[in-house]
Amino acid sequence: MLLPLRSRLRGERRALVTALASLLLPLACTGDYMPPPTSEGELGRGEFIYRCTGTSDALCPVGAQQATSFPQAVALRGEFGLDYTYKEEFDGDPLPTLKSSSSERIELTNGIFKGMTEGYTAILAVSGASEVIDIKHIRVAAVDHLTISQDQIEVGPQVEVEAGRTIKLTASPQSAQDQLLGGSLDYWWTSADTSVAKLSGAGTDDLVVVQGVAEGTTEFTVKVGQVTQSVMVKVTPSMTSGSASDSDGTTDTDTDTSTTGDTSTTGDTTGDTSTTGDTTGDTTGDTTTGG
Amino acid sequence: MHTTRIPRTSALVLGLGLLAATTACQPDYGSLEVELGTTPPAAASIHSTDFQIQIGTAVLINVKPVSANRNDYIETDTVEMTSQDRTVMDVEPGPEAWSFVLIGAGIGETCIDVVINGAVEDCIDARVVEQE
Repeated sequence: MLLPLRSRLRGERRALVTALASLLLPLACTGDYMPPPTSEGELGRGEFIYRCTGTSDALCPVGAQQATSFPQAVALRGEFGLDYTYKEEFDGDPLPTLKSSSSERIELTNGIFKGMTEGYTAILAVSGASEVIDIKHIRVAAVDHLTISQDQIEVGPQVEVEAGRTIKLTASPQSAQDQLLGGSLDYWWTSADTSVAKLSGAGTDDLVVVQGVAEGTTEFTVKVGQVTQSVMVKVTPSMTSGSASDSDGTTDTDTDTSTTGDTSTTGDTTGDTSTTGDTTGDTTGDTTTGG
Repeated sequence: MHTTRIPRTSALVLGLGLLAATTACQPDYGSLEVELGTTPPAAASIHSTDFQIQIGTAVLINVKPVSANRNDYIETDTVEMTSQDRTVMDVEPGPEAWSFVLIGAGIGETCIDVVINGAVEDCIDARVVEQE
């Protein structure tokens, strides 16, 4: 009588362990967990959801409107969006409109907020005529410095790219307290010597594609407002014959349509479809394939 | 036709008595209890006689009028708060009865009227200061 009971208990314990393991395993394997970009309202009725409004908000992955987290602060002059969602117990209440407590501090135009003055500003969730049903204070901070990263790892003073290949660099605005700042900003990337390395695209987003042109070293600079950050780009000789691809081995289709920030004066190969190590200073309509 | 005449003095006494009885049942405003409902990121000073918050910030307050006589205010008594200068400190109703949100709109001083059952009963000094 005792043995079957012990055996059954052991069986149940095993089943429990298996169930727990199967529950934890998927969690452990999802390496790219992204915390929701929400923050609870101060009156506890719901959550404020942060939205990126442009392509150059450091809080949103490239091409995404969904931020990875609610910002601790947004950049001065940075643009962003906010939504509001009720907690379950308040579901069914009419959706509030969001407004700034002071348009001189955080401006609201056509649903886009813009940080105008450093410090805290309350965003009010207003229901009906004027009833404030929730509050969220947003801190606006000046961009103190920029960091440049490659594949989400902050780069040192120099990065390398093979001639004919590309790498992607991302600039991130930081506060004086080293906090990543939210908000879409105007970036301005430039290459000191486009005959060595040039940027693809307009160079007005936080992300820039750097293309190695010819062996040598040049300086890439990114500017946001009055804040600049530079990184030396060393172009190494091409190791492979002839194809242009990302350094990570992926094929990069570049639909470059702008010359902003590019001071190239070398031969323009507009409309060129390059399949070999192209070292010309093209700027427009260039489709680069290979890999 | 037979009519009953009430002496004028009796009528006066009766009227005064009724008036006294009616007012005796009503609360008489004495003061306002104020409690901070949220903790703003920038310091705020909230008392029953004066409010001070920093520009751009908003705080929720819960108020309770205190009667000076034996008749307390009850939930059906309406309490409104209105700012004499909304460009300095704005006041909006909160999500619950007798709750309000003070909003620091601009640097300066003003007064917040406390209106109970439609009558202005008090004025609370309000100041909005720069953020520290």
